[in-house]
Amino acid sequence: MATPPTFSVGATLTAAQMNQIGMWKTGSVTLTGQTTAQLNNCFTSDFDKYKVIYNIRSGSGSASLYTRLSVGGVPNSTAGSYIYGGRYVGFPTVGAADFNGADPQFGFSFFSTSPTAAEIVLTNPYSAIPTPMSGTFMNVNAGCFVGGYHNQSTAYDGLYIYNSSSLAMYGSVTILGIRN
Amino acid sequence: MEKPTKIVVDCLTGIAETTEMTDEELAEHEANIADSPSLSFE
Repeated sequence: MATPPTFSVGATLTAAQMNQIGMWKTGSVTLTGQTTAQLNNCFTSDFDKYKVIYNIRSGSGSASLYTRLSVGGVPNSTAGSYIYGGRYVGFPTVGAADFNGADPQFGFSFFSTSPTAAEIVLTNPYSAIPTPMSGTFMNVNAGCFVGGYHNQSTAYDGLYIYNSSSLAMYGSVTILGIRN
Repeated sequence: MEKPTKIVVDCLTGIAETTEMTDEELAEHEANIADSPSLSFE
């Protein structure tokens, strides 16, 4: 019998082995200049935790990158419902500061013509309880650690992604369900 | 002048559609931005 993670050609995986797969892609979008992205049905009852991986750059200019949770294609824009804080460190010139917000969106990253790599983990977005978020982002100017939560007790099935300057966005966003 | 575009993806089917924002959607989008202050470290 095959023993993960080493397999031989032609080996048949059992259900028990397949059930050990830790992450499963539940959604993605390829951005080719759109200003906003709405991903529907990326959160289901199949997973409690989801990792969202951003690879985003602009054609020109820089902007803050924003994310809202949505249900049925409608983002939740409740004022003050996305509560978060973090610390960023700049490079190559070191500058550091704390930041926080209680806004109608999660804001934890910015992007420019250089790609930004950001990752967040959302816990229980599909459950009708508040949704914790933790993550990081890195680009050519700074790195950041951030955490927070969305305080609405709503079951969400999607994400809405936009930015502070209506810039055209390029790259991709991938969503992975994390198995318990 | 071209209007900004949006992409909507149904992750169950993988179907993605990019369309120009309508005037109503553009107004809503601009209101969203107005309500979303830029990050202090942008």
